[in-house]
Amino acid sequence: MGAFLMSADTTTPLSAGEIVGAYRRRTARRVLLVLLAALALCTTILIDIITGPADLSFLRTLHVIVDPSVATVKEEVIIWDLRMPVALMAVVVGAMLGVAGAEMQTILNNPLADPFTLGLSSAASFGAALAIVLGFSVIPNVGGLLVTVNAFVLSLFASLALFAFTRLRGVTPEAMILVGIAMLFTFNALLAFLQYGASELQLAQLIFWQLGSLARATWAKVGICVVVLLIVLPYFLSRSWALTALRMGEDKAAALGVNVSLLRLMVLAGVSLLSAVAVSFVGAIAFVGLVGPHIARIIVGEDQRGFLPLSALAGALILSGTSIASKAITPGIVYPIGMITSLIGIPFFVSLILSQRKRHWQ
Amino acid sequence: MTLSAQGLRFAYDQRMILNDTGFEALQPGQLTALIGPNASGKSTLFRVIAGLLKPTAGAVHLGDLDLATLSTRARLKRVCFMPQFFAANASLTVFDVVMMARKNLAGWKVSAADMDAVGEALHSAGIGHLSEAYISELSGGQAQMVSVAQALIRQADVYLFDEPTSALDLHHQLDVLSRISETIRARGAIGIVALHDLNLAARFADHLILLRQGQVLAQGRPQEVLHRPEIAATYGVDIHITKGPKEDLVVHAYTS
Amino acid sequence: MTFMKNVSGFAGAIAATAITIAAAPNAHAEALTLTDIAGREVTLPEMPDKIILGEGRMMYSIAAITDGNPFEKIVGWKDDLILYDPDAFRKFEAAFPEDAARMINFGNPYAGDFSIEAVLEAEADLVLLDVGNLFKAEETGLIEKLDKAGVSVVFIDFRRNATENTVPSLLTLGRVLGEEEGALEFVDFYMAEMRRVTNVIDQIPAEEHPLVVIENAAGWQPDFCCWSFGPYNYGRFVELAGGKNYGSTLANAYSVDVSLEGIIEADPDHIIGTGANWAEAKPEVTATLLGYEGDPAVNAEKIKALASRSGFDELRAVKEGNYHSIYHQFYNSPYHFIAVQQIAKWLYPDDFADLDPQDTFDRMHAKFMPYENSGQFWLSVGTAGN
Repeated sequence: MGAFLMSADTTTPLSAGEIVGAYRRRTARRVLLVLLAALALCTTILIDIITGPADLSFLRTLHVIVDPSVATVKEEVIIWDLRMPVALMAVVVGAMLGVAGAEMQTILNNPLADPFTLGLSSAASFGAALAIVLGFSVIPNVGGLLVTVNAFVLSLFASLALFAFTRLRGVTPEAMILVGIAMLFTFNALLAFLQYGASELQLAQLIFWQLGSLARATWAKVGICVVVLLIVLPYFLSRSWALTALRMGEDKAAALGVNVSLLRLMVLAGVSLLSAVAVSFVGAIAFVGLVGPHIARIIVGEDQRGFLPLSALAGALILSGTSIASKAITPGIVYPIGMITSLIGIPFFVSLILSQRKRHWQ
Repeated sequence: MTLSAQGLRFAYDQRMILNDTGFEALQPGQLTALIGPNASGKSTLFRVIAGLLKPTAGAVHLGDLDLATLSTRARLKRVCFMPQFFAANASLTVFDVVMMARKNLAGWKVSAADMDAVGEALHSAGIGHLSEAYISELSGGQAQMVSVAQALIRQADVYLFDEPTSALDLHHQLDVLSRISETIRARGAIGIVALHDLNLAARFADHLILLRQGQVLAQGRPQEVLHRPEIAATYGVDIHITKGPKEDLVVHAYTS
Repeated sequence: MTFMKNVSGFAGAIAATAITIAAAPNAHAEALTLTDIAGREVTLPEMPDKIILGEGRMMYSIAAITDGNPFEKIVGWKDDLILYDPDAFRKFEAAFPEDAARMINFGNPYAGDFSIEAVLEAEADLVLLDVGNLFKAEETGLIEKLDKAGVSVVFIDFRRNATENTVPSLLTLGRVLGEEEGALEFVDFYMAEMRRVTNVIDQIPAEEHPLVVIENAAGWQPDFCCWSFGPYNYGRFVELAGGKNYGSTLANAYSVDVSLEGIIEADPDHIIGTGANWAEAKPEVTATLLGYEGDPAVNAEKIKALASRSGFDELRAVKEGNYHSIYHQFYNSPYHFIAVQQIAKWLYPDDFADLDPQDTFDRMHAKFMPYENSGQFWLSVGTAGN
């Protein structure tokens, strides 16, 4: 946002009332933008539900949703078992990734952080590969949930390693980033090793997993994701001021009474849970957690009370839009989601940066 | 309630930073200047008083209360510490950060009273025109003034300012120090300001503490302390003190 | 006088021919030049007798064209046969226990590089590779390096363009193994059996072709739908059998990932999933375990489960009993004419009332294979077996 960068003696002083007025206007604008984002999200969800190779009109679709009893069996399967879980999964996972990315960037003081730059998704991919290629299950007797459970457990394990190492070396952003990068490379190497030994079908399965897919969404999975989000997000919101304070520097935050180390660890725990669950269900979709928060930051700044909800909404929007796009390319063919998130997210992100330079947001 | 400290010791990496440091009771409504060369332990002393660092020995008392008996959070509610450096690369506006200081981590909603308080604080500090600027866009001096505003908007018993004027031009140095002084007096709080400039110290402080290598070498009223040989010895200069037109002390320093 | 001259001339000619024929066994010492399926002209200095198979499953074709022990000239392979078709491997093992045991394992065929050292250690003179490995082999300089060491590389293909490349690949194999007769015999059999289907299909107009969805490796990933084929491999088999391949309508690619919703919307007439005995390598698969050791009772349960998957159970094709399962490994072998025959029988039961793919398969084994047919290679939901 632009600023009057003149020194004190060349400007007419604003009265206290005018100052407050400017803040109120900005706050109102922030609230409005968040609401607009929420509205946009409702729109994309709706479009997502009515998009697909099957030829169902908009009104008919709404009718079936509102009154399931009128649906033919085919419509019921398509709308309730196939389209709705996918549309909702996109939203929930997008929100989870957006929130995880936002807080990762906050506690690491690094705009390039997202849960995946710290190796959490590589660990999950490696867990999936263990299941796919070796049939090795970290937790026995999970049957068909093998890949999901492995990915989840390995992702949490990576988080634990992050925890442990940083407690040894001090809970600083530098330590976390270094350990995270070390893990990223380690798990990627192990993953490559497994790919070496995979058959054609296994490789296909692995690649599809690594690029992410919403196609396996079920109501149960959506439910689990919602529960996890409802546990973690309110906690983050309750620490809004403390997290905002972190962005002022450790000293300032500590001076306000923030236990910086503890806060970082707690947030890391929340981020780990969000990413592990998200990744284990949809595979590795990295871009969303990086760009969602950036978009939110450019629009409403870093006051966590607005930044966090908008990061969630931005993430959800990106993934929801991606879901629509992936169905629109060639009806009937399923594309890995990760491929398309980049294509959607980057141009939007770039245009936002460019528009920011030109306009004065005062 | 007075602020006093006795026998504080603090070491870092096997280096003794505070060595049996202590000072006599500082009176409420009075501003104390903490002077001394670089790396004499001023910042460390502030952190120990605020409770951000735990001394290996000694205590800090607010009246009869040993501050160590308070939780960190409770202590920091009573001791407002303004650190020397201010990380400034966030997408937060000046109003945002001063509001954050005002809210002091409590409560979600920002009330009208909160907004008015912040508006007032920015206005009286003369930085109202910067209220909607991002802190990442501020100059060093402007950021420092915001930092001071953040400290002053909080209601505390003790205010610790670590070099609050180092990046400011002359006008603003005087402006900031007078505001600190007035606020301390008005609230009946205890204020300690770490300063490099002996003239500013002489002019604004009611009380002076000279700290060198973690030890208090002299403390007392400026006109007494400034004449002490420890001052000249610490700074390696010859000192002459005269009186200015408003009966304020003026310090003249000469290297030999 | 002239008569004697003619006789002596004739005798001379016969003598000359006899000498030439007698010299024929030395043909092994002559260079062998051929063009492989990758279009490369390869010259083998002499008939190879230590061959490495880039894929163990090349044995399907080698066994079919070889008169005698198919392992005779083979020194090693990659172990995909053991991993992905253990039933077939055990058939070979039972027939040729020592040879099966002495096969040197050259590791994984789909990733990683061929170890040139291992090849030289085995003193091989020929490496047979699937054309899918061509890019990698060129990129890593494998062919050059082997060439320098005096080891030839020949490419064959039974997978990518299965139907077009099977005959040339069989002929190439015949030439490098010295089994040209056997190869030609099998090619005759292949063509005759394929024609039994295509001759009939040629008469049926395209508009009447039923819509067929091929599900590649149904049940490999329990909660996933679906991998399919474009107009290649099984997709092509469907087309030759007179079906309209759903995958071909979406993309002209070897492999196409299709959504369940698209399938539901397309309302296919038949759905065919492929299955094989993957349970040994991957216990959690829900695929039909087809192959030489296929158990009809077990597979009847499995195919019912596959057809009952959410979304599938409501499809018209499933309700009409047109959900089928067929042996996956036909996708990489010259026996795919069996698949084409069985698919044709499913699609046009009346037109092919006289066609008996089981009998064809039995005859093929009797005539060409070193072991007997057994097990189960296809089934439909609602039927007890073949």
